[in-house]
Amino acid sequence: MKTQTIPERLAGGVDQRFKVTPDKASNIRNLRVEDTGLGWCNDRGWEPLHMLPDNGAYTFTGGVGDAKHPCRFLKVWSRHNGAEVYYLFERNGKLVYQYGNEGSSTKAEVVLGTNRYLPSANEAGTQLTPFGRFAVVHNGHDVPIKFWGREKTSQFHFTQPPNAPIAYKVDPRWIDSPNDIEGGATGLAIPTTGWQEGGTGVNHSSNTFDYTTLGLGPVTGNGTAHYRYKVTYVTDSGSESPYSDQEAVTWKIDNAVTLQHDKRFCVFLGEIGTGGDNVVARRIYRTKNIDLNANDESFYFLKQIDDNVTTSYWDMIPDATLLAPAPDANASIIIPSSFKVSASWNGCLWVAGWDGNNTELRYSDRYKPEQFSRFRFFDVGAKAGGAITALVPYYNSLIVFREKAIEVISAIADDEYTIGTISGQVGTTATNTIKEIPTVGLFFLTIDGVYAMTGGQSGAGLVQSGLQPISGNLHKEWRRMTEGALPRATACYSSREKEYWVHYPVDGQTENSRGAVFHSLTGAWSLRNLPPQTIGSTGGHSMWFTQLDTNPEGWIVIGTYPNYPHPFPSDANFNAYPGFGLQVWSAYDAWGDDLTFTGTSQGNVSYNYAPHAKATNNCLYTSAWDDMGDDSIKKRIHSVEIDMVTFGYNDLTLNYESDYAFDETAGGTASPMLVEQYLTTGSEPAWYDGNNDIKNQAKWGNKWSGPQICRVRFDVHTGNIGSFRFFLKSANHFQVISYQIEYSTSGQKVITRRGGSG
Amino acid sequence: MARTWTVKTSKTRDQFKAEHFNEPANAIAAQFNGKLDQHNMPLDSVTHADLADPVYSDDAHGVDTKSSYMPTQSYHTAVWDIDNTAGLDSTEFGSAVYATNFSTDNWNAKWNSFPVSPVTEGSRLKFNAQEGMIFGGVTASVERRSGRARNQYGEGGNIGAEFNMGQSNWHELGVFVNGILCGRSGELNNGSYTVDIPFSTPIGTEFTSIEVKWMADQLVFFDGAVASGSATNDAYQQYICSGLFLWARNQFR
Repeated sequence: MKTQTIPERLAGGVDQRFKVTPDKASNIRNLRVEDTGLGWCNDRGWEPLHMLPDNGAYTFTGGVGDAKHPCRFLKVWSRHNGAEVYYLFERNGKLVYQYGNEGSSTKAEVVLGTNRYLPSANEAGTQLTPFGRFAVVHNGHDVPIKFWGREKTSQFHFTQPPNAPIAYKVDPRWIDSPNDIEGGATGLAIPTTGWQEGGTGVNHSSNTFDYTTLGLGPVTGNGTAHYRYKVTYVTDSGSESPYSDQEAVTWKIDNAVTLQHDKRFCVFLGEIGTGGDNVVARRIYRTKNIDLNANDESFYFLKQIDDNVTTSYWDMIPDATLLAPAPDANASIIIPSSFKVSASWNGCLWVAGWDGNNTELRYSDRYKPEQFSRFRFFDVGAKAGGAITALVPYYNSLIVFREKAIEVISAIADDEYTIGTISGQVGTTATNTIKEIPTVGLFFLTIDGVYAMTGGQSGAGLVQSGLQPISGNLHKEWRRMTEGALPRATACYSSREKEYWVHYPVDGQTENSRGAVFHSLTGAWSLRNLPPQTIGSTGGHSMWFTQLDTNPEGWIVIGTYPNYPHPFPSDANFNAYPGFGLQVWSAYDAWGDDLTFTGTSQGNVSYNYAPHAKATNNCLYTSAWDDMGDDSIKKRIHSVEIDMVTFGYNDLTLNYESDYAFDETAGGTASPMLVEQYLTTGSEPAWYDGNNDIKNQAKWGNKWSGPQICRVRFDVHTGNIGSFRFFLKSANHFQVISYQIEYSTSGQKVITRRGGSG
Repeated sequence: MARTWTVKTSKTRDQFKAEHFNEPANAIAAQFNGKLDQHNMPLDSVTHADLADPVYSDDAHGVDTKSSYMPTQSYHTAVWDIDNTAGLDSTEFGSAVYATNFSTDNWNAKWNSFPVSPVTEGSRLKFNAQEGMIFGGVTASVERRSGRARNQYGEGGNIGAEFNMGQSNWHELGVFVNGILCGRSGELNNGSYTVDIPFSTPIGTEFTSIEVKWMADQLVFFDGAVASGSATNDAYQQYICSGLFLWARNQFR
């Protein structure tokens, strides 16, 4: 019998559409594109970010506590060129980070906030925006904070301006009969000469001193002195708060009284307000003397008090030395603290998305991220598109994502901005899925799949931004997404894995359970999920990943919802799957570690832990349906030969289906290795398992080779069929690179025709 | 960032690939090669105490060791030069801090300590070491010469033949850390040398004594009969040290 073989096909990515090129796959589950040799590899699992004790047991001191709660925020933030890396996360409203080496502390955890708002399914939750040495952490509900690393946080922005200081009344009449408290004198001999500017006087302790030009108020005539004061806060980011209300003080010189003649006075300011923990200084502004002749009511900078403690100040600065005009009253205003999205771009902090006005976008003064001018804002509400859902710097622009539109802000001059529209149709509510993929574009998830934004807005239009859907091949996946919970979707780009992984809720659920992965090395897509298990008290082992992020080295860090869909079980039923702490996507050969309750003692809850083993169908490659060109020409499939990387003696089984039927048939079984070397001394050294059939066991000092490519044949025996596809699925290691299908056919179309009246 | 997680996994019966060993080993090695952060080091483990000024001590253990104790290392020096030897001199040789005559002074055929006296403390360091490594060195100027002697067959002067002595003499310096020879100059022939001997050794948390010793080969013996009834030039009987600088750094683990 003469057989035919299809040309060798590189195993492609998933495409769920009809009539796609046959190298595509129907399904790829939990595989990755191997970064050096390409091909689809199943060597990924996840493990705790912080290693559990190596005795197989773990005890929650003082109870399981927040570990049962879902992770609602995760961000890896590094400072000092990666010398400090913070894995910040939130569970049960507690914002914390943990560190790997406990040292002498009782718990390797630093709590930055408690009782924080728990985001609902239609909210993106806490956001972290780095701005220089600190990061702004906000969620639209709690007071935003600045996180400076280590244990330092401080309030972001201001909730109110300072209170006005009290300017104590100046009464020149007191100088008529001064009391010498020190000397116990009842009167004071005022020198008849020298009591003027530049002269020498003697105080009531008989010490001589030089009169100076310090002091306020008129010195001659029946002059009136009128001054006004106001103060501001200065924060640890160099930003200045809005002004307090004004406080005024007035006095009048009676020229007929000798002792009041040629006198200046000091003004005592009290109750100068102290601010929050972000305030490092206060500034005092004052007018010059406002009299009937010169109605200059302008304020001038008077003094900066470089602390947040002092509440009083003696003002003796004469008008002539007030040179710097005070900032405009509009230079700093209070903005609502309820902004939900933010970005750091062009030296400004951009904030938007508060409930009261979700189409308004405000931006701070340059390099003063907490100081917002009254007139530095855009409002996109005039155009359809919905609320602002994300702000993302990209190229030389700031991309403003809205629910159904995308705007772009560009700098047209130094610190001058304009806004334009990229799309009036496409937008997203999946704030946390917007990630830049190097060389490809800015990816984001919408209800109809992933879009990529490419290019940017550049001078003279040399670089045009574009927007394109790039995941139409996964339409079956996108149709399952829960639109209302899309803000819960999360994504990351890993420079280590070279993949964009977006994880989302499906089928009406509000928690993320399925993911799609774009592999930037090949431009292919695959899926990342676990097939439904028996739902019992502990079943339902999906990938309940609420948060994804990557650390500076590209490791993917995962936040979880333990025990979902049976959340908050009793301690005895708490198995923690898919992990009670942060997890890391790695070559760990398991889906995290499961807990088994062992007991409670004095409030401490103890468990044993063990890897959650991978099931056979957890990692699979399913080829696309292939009719070899025409499904009306029947053919018999004889074998599938797969070029794969050698892995050893752990067998793989190939299953197949015919003519769109749902009945998998087991094909042949083979080991991924050079068949000639199978169980010979010539094979590559293998891990010994106590079975002496392996002739070449790995030993220290032997030469170990690298991965090799081998062709593995799986026999298939079908009847006369129209279309065919195969499944390679195993918990054993495999790496599929390409394949060929061998078949035989008469080349004749079938004559029998059924259906219809004929 | 320094933490790393599982980079390769093998099951039993899998082939053992070189990268299965090398990649995890690289990941671990990278942590030790400086890629450390608070996930390896205890948070706040670097405190003001770690940034404190060195604590200086002098003559803490009976010898003139100048020590600076710092958070991560300590540094110790001893100097023996002409200024602290009260003007010891030698006519044939250069200015000496130590001069011995084998025919009149006591000496050993093996390693000899320089005499213990306040002026010779430059050959010794004594300090409290912490577990880690000691790196150090000694720079010394030493000198030996050959000489000339006359056979003497009977009483009276000017009898017998004159001949050269000590042309093949050699001498050597060694550095001993707690009695263990950790560095040596190798054999030095006649002449004046300035030698620089580096040495290093692991060390525990213990009291540590570092001493420089000398060894010489010659034909003259203390109080023994010598071939020379009288010497016309007895330089071959002498060993001279003109100065010595000894230092050691204790790098804590």
